[in-house]
Amino acid sequence: MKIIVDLMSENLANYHQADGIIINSQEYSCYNGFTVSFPNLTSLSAKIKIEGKIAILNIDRIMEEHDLEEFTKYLDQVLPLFDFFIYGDMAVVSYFREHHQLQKLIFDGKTLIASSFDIAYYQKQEITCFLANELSLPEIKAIAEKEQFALEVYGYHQIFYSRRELLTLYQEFRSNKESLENELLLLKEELRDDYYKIYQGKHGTFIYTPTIYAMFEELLELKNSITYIRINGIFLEEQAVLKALDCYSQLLQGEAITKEALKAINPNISSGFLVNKSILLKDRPVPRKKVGGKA
Amino acid sequence: MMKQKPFVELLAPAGDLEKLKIAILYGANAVYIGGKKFSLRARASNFELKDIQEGCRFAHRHGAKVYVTMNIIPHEEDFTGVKHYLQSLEKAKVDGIIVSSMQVAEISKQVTPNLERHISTQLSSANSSAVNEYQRMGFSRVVLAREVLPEDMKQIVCNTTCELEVFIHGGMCVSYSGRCMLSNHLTSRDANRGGCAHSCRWNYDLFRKNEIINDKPNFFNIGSKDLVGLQHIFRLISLGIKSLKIEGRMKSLYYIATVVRCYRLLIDEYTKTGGDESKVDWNFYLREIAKAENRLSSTGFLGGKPTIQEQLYHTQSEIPTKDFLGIVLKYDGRSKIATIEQRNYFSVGDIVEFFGPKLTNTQMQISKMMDENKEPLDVARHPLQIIKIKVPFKLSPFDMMSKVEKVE
Repeated sequence: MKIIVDLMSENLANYHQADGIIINSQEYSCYNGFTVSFPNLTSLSAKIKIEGKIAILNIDRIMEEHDLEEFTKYLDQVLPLFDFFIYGDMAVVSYFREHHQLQKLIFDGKTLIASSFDIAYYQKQEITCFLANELSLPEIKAIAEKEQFALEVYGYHQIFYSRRELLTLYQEFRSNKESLENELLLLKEELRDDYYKIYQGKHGTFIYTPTIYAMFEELLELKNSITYIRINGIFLEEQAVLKALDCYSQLLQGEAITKEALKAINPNISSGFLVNKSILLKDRPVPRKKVGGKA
Repeated sequence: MMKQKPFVELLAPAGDLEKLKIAILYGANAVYIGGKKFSLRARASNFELKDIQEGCRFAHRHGAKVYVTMNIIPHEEDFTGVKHYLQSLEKAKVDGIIVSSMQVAEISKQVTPNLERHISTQLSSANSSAVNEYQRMGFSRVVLAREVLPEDMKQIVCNTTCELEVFIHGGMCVSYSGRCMLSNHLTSRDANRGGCAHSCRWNYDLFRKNEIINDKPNFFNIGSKDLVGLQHIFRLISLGIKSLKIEGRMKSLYYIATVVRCYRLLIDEYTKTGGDESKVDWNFYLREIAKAENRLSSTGFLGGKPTIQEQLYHTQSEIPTKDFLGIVLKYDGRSKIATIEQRNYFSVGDIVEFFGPKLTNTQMQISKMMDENKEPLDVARHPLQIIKIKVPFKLSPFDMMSKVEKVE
């Protein structure tokens, strides 16, 4: 199990406990935080490799037809620079297959991989997959008995990805000229208590979980099945991410450490769906009334 | 009866067997249905296997195709019985399946190689490289993401030989399909397994730290209006889009009949006019389609990058349509008595309109009606009540009766 973490500044020395570093592409990732534009990738990827770390480029956007020409040129340039590429669009598979480099791919479909059967399909092509975040611990364990996968274990999870400029359109509707783009705002459903993060960047509008998802001690049971665990830095301070990295590093080295250590960094953590299996309420109305506590 | 292969397929939803028949009789070249397993519309009626068989027989007799949606994102337990289910579908003479899971497609390739495999819009395919990759993997058709812009669609068609399917009408996800977990997080209902609670249409407050941004008592909304692609149909056909898809497996019989008929007539006009939009009476189509609408609509991405016209603000409740009054069960040419199954309240003196697969919109005033025992009635007030009405023109089974506010 290797720890991979989002790069949050150019100070690579801070990331010595990570096995791999993810650079979020400014042009082709959905990431709304510290991103790196093409001209700076060469030097950064070289520095990561000098540090003996795995260099990973995140290009997880959904690609549009008019992106393809430039995107292909971009891939021609970055292919030799990185060990792995996190992707979300089948166009990436097409390119890497043509270049016989499918083994460099990690599929992050956010919600699209929820079984060992689908993981097996991708593994036959040598592609690693991130498991969906909305799975219970028993489900993850059942999958882990059969296949290996990557998992996002810490951070705010993206739960909504729209191509629409929802904040800009809303301001236009209100005839308000103030821009809400590139600003972290909060979203609260009228009957519920949680504050979801909402952000409109240049690639669309994104909504994130209200709490930091944290899977911690549970990982020890899954050690042999998880190839990579990702610490997602979105909307977090670099220092907080580095502290979380330290906690996970200690955990994997067998030190006695619990989730309390993560809570000390930021108390706003939750176990997400680990203990709350997502259900399908067939033929039953949607619960709309607040019944107390968090939704 | 085998018909010539259509140059463009009108693909309609069917939540049950009755809707399947209506969709085909009103002009769909193909229908998509959900089985009891693997289907994303858990609250749609969905088909038992025997109904799928009967639906396929009916469709094939009328030269139409049946596709079965298997587009959930399957969890571990969902794979139980998948091989057997696929084999049952093939045995039932289903033409194809719509899938989101690569492994379900792979199993189908092995055990049911003759089934067409279509990639679901859940995979958000928005470029030709992705489309071609799916084609290489054995998919015969890709349902494009609803977010594809017109100019991009044109390029995608140029850059692939794969069949393309495009949504032209119905509800819209505001996120990329398959990339939304709002329902899951707000209600624990898994949108990717058929439980979507449509949380994008709910009311929200928008904050900058502790400061509320929306103007109370109004809320911040992110939902999308429904899609009506009528005025883009000629362009989509000219581009070479293979299949035009209507959304709505949970919609009513009347909705299916009205919407399918409307697009059927328009596609036929394309043939008659050689694609000349100036010869089309758009007012007729807009008026007809409006009869089936109970939500605000717009052109989505078919009209280009969405503006505020495509968004739903200050959420409107759905208004149940009362236009649909009944469905014709039979017509006696000698006595000119139509037997009608009631679907909404109507009374003697009402002006009504009949339309059907072979009947253009024809109006009349109800002068006399009876119940099934031929007892006179003033009012038809009970759902599914059998009513007999004197109608001076010929009707056929499955013709629809709707309400007219004003005589046209």
